Parts: sequence; structure tokens; C-alpha cells
Amino acid sequence: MKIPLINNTPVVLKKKLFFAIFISFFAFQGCNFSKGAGNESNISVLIVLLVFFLTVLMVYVVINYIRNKRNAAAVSSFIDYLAGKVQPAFTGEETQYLPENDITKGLRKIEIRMKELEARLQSRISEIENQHVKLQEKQKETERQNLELKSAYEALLESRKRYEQLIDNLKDEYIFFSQSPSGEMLFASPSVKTILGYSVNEFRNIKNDIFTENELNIAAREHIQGSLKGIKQPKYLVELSDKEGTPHVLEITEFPVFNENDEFIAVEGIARDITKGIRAEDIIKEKEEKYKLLFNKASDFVFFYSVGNNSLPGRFIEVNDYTVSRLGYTKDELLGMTLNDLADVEIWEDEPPTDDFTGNKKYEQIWTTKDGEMINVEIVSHNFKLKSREIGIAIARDITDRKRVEEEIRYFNEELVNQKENLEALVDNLTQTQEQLVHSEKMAALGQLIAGVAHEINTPLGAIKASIGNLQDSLKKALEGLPVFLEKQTTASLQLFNKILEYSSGQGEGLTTREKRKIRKETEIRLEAEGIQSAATIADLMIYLDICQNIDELLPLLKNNGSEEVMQSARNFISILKNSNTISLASDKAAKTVFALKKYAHRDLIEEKIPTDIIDGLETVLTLYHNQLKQGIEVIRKFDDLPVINAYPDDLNQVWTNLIHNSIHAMNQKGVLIITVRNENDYITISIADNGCGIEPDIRDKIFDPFFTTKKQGEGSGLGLDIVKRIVEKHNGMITFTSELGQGTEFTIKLPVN
Amino acid sequence: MSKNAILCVDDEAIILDSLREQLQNYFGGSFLYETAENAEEGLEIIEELASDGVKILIIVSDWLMPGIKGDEFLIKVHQKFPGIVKVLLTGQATQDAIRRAESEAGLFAVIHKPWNSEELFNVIKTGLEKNE
Repeated sequence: MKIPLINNTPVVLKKKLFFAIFISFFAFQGCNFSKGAGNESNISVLIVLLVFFLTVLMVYVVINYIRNKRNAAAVSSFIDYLAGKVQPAFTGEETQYLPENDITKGLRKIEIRMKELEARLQSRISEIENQHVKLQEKQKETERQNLELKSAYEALLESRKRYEQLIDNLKDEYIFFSQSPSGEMLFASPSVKTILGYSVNEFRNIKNDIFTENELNIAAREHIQGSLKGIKQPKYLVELSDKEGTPHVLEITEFPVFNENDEFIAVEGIARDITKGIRAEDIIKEKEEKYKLLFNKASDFVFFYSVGNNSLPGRFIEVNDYTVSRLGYTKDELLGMTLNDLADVEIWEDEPPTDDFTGNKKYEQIWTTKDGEMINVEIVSHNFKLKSREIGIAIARDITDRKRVEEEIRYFNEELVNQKENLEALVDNLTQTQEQLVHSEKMAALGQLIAGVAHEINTPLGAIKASIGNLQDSLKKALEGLPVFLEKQTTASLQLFNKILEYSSGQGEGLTTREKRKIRKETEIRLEAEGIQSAATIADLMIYLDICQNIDELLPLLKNNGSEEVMQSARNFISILKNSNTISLASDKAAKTVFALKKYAHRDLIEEKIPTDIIDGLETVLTLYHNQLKQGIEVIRKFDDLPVINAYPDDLNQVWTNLIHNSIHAMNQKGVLIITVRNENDYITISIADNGCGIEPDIRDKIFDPFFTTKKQGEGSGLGLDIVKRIVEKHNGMITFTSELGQGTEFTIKLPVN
Repeated sequence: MSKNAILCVDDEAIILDSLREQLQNYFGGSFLYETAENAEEGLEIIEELASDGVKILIIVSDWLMPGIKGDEFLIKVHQKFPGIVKVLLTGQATQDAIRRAESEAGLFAVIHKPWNSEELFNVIKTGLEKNE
């Protein structure tokens, strides 16, 4: 540093000058300081200034000393003082009062001292100059640094301005916020108003109730929980309702904030409103991906084509992976082909495509793969305009398996239909056969009855025929004999005639032939004993006229002459009565049988229950069996009074027939048949008991089985009891039986009254 | 005086009564007319008449009767009285029974109920003639 030497200037002036320099320098530095970039640099500047001042002061003192040796002592003390060695009384006034001798000594000393000092000063000066150079460099460095700092500061300002602008621009999309670990909203940027409509204060006081129902929020809540625990979360989406209730999807980026002690103190984050973005880019991108996947991963033939004739698919434009792999052609090969190159027939030749209301065309084709495999496909194509060019998209499904299965199903179906028809026919047949069997069982039973029935009818017919002949005979004789009879009439003969007519009812006494024979014999003996002639003939006549019991009264009259002729005449008249009675009896008998037969053989065509008298039915069957029963079977009837019930009378008759028939068979025509009918209010119980051979224990569980029979082949169909059971069940009734070998069997049928 | 008899066997009284009267009307007093309601009684009568010295010339029997059937009855009779003319008068008889009666009882004729009186009389007359 060069300080101008001011030689001729008075000390006071010089002092003033120095002060001025000092002040001005300070002023300058102060100014610098005030602009200073930092405290540390200000201090260093102060130090530099102080060193600079001291240097100047020293230079000034040295120069004054050299010029004015009077002040040498003072200077020396000052320098000592500077060196820290002495504590001089350092004033200019004092040095002027030192003694002369001492001065010389002192001067010498001072001279030596001066030289030393000079040397030291010299080294000091060079030292200082060195330092000065360094200081200068330092100052330059500082200045350069200052410049850098300034530009950096300006750059900072600039960037801050830019960021502020950026944030300002982004405020429609971003919310900056920070939250305490307890979830309290510490800070939210004012953009919350723009985005969600809430003021910052409102926003800070709302919590979860602005979360929508969107599924996004399930994951979002988990992320929020994580964040509040100080765990860094990946970006996540949350959907919040704004103040008006419109949902906004926000993309949240959060990071935890820690203090110097690594304690988690807050979560800071940015929320970006991506509601629109989501609709636009992401969705489109995702859709595109999906469609691409759909197109290529579809296990159907999917392809775009140029529209050919008749608006049907022409050349392939784009084909999916499946089309390539299934058809065996390369993609390039396919793109040079048309649909008809694959198909053996032109699609519209085979079956015209059907248009549905959506504008889709649907049709089937047979394609041939490169390997020659034939596959059935069902194609659905749709034409549309893409950038003024008409193209189409088609999906073709491989229906070869389906076709085959359909074919098989059709085949099996036909088979089934055939089988069903056959079965139905069979069932019809069986039903018919069953009906026929039931009927023929009925007829078989009837057939067995016919023997008896024929007899039952022919017998009265025979009696009728004979009686009519007898009648004619008797009438003829009576009429022929009448004039003679009237002519020869005596009182006695008339009396006899009247008596005979009086006693002879012509009804018969119901006597057996054996009884009659006995009576006739007795009568003949009596008549002979009484001396009456032609006793045998008269006894015969008396038997005929049923007047043997009146013999005591008649004997005197019989002893008269001509009594035989009177009796013969009476016989002719009584014969008319007797034969008429016989005819009447015989007709009743025949009619009864015919009626029973008619009832029995009747086959109901209308399957409806009708009011039925159970006992009447039983009697009908007993009538038909009368001829068989009377030959050795005693029938005991124990019948309660019964209400008429709704039933199928013909069917029930068959039940009685089969059971009675079995009983007769079991009793081998001889025994006791007890038929009991009880009225048990809700039920009618009919039991048919015989004292026949009984049922073998080992076949008791089989007797109701169809075609099971103990009779000889040809004698029984084996259906009898099966039919009985069916009929009883048809009436919602029950059939049970008890049987003991050698003791007999009792079948009991319970029929509900309602 | 030895009498000849005609025996009728049937389980129906109306048959016996009308048949007996019919035969009586036709053949008059030349025969005794006996009737039985079943085979057992018929056999009794045969024995009885035989012991009385009455000769049974002809038996007219029903087939279907309680107890012993007509064919069996006639066979029994035939074993003792092969000379009696046997006639079945029946409403119904099985072929087996008729064949048996023919071979084992020398059955003379089968007349079916309802019978024609002329046929019956002819059969009996023919039978009687044959017997003489």
C-alpha cells in the first residue's frame, strides 16, 4: 500500500488529514458492509481495515521520527509499546524536558536501538508488503466471490419468480398440504378452493366425510394410514367430493418429514386433480390395451376385412393370433386371401346370411385349414365405415365340435324319439293287454262260472218248457173231462172236489222227495188199510195235490165210488196252478241268474264311481256261484246294514268273485263260507272266510304277485289276487288276510265310506 | 204184479215236479215215477224198489248236482244194474263226464236242458225198446 508522504504539512493538519482518510475509508467500508452478503465477510473486512489503519499509522510515526529526532524517544517508547515491552509515558511534551548528557547517551542508545528497529522495521515492512499483496489478492477474490454471489442471488430470484409462476399456474390442478402425524391438516394451499371449492380453513376442518364411495378410497385410506405413521407411500389415488358434491380423483404424492433428531413430525404432500386425465388418457390407453388383448387372445377367429360383393367379407385386413394359429396360414398369407379362399362354397350359395336388427350378418361356413382340416364356423360380421372406407369386422367361431355334438344329439334325439314312440306303443300295448288281462281274468272267472250259469239257466228253462207242456195237457184234459165231470156230479164227489180245491194250494209244501216218498208210502198203507182200491194211485194223487195231511177228513169221501175220477179232475185243475207256479219260480230263477250275469259281465266304459250297494254286489256273485255253492258249501251271511258308498261296483264284484272262487277252490267244493259285512262308520269291512286248506306259509308273501298261482297251468291266470289288490287300492281300501294250514283262510277288505 | 219204474234224479224240485208230471202225462200209469233230489237218494230208491220187486227200466239224471255228480252216479248204478237205461238230462256237462258215463255207465243218451218233450219221449221209448 502506498501512502502519500506529507512532508511540509503541520502536524495538526497532518493529524486532521489522517483522520479524514480514516473516516472516509470507514465510510466506504461501511457502505460495503451494508451491502454485505454475510456477517463473516463483514468481520474479515473490518480486520483488513484495522490492519490497514495500523500500518498507515506506523508508517506515519516512522516517517515523523526520521524527520524529527526529538521525538525519537517517544517513538522508541511507542515502538516498545507496540512490541509490548515497555510502558512508556508517551507524550511529545515530556521528551522535550530530558537532560543533555543523558541525551547523548540516550541518543547513542537510541541510535543503536534505531538501527535495530530499522532492521526490524524493514523486515516488518516487507512482511507487511507481503501481507498487503496477499490482502490485495484476497480482496480480488472477495470481489469475484461477491460478483458470483450476486449473480447466484439474481438467479435465485429469477427461479423463485418462475416457481411462483409455475405454482400459480398449477393451482387449478395441485393442492400442497401438510399434515401432522395425528392427521391434523397443518397447511393446505389456497388452490384447494379452486379444486375442491373449500376455503383453506374449511378444508382444514373437514375430514373423512368428503371421501366418496369409490373403491379407490379403500386403498387410499390404507395409504393415508401408512403416511401418518411416517412410512413413505407410493403415489396413490383418492376420490373426494368437492363442496358441490362432484367427485374428483386426486393423485396423492406424500412424503414424511423428520426433524434433526429423526423424529417424524409431519407428512407433506401434493394432490393432483386427475379427474379429467383419468377419463382421457388412462382410460383410452387401458381400453386400447384391453381391445388389443381381446383381439389377440380371443379364442375365436376375429378379423377385419375389406367389404366385397353383396357387402360380404372380402380380403382380410387384420387377423388375430387365433386365426393365424388355427388356420395354419401365416399372417402374410392370410392377408393376401379372401374369406372365400377358405370356404369350399361361396357363403351365400349355401345359406343366405341372416341380418338381425343390429346390422350383423350371421352365417355358417365350412373352412379348410392349410392342413386340409375342415372346420365348421359360425360367422357374425358387421360392416362399417372407417375414414370413408367401408370395412368390416367379423367373429367366426369354430363350431365343429358343436356341430358334431349337435349331429350326435340329433341322432340320439331321433333314437330317443323312436325309442319313446316304441315305448309308448309298448306301454299302450301293455295297458291294453293289462286291461284285456283284467277283463279276461274277469271273463275267465266268468267262464268257470258259465258251467254253473248255463245249468242255472237251462234248468228253469227246462222246467218252464215241461211245465207249459203239462199245463196244456192238464187244461186239455180238464176241459175234455169237464162235461162228463159235471154230468156225473154227486154231492159226495162235489164235496171231495171242493175239499181238494180248498186244501190244495198248488204251491207245494216244500217237502223233499224223500219226505214225500215216505208220506206217500204211509198214505198208501193207510188207504189200503181202509180198504180203498187203487191205493197207490190215490196216494200218488194225494201227494201231487198236497192233501196227505188232510187224509183223516178226506177218508170217508175217498171211500165213495168215483173218488179217483174226482181226484183226477181236480188234479187237472191243480196242475194248472202247480205248473204256473213252477213256471213263475223258474222264470224268477232264470231272470235272477241272467241279471247277475249281466251285472257281472258288464264292463264299465265310464270310469266313475257310482253309488254302490256292497251287499247287492255280494249277492250277485253268490247267485252266480249258487250252483257251485249249493253242492256242498254252506254260506253264512253276517251282514250289517250298510250305507250306499261311491265305488266301482263291477270292479268290486270281481273282487268278491275272485275271493269266493278261491275259497270254493280251497274248500274243494265242501265247507263253510262265512261272509261278514260290518259297518264301522268310516269304513266298511268285508271278510270272506273259508274252512279250506289254508295258504302255505312260504307263499303267503307272494299271493298278491301277478302271475303267481297255485292252480294247475291253464286253470288260473295268476292275476286274480293281483287284480283284487289293485281294485281295493283303487278304492283307497286295504286288503289283509289270515290263514292257517288245514283251518282255512280269511280275507278282509276295508273300504272307506267316503 | 211186477211194476216198472222210471227214476228221475235232479237237485231242482221244479225239474223233478215238471219232469215227473210230463212223463206221467205221456206214459200214464204204465210206470211208477220216482224222483230223487240227489244221487245218494237215487241209489236209496233203486235199492228200495229192487227190494220191493219194482224194476227200474230207465234213469233220467241230471249231471251237475251237489255231492255225487251224474256220471259218477250212473257208473255206480251201472255196476249194480247194467240193464237200466241211463239218460243224462243236463243243463251242462263236461265232455269228460259224458265220455266217462258213456264208457263206464253205458250211457244211452244225453238230453240237454231245456229239453224238447218229443226228444225226451223218443229217447225213453227207444231206450225201453232197446231194453226189451
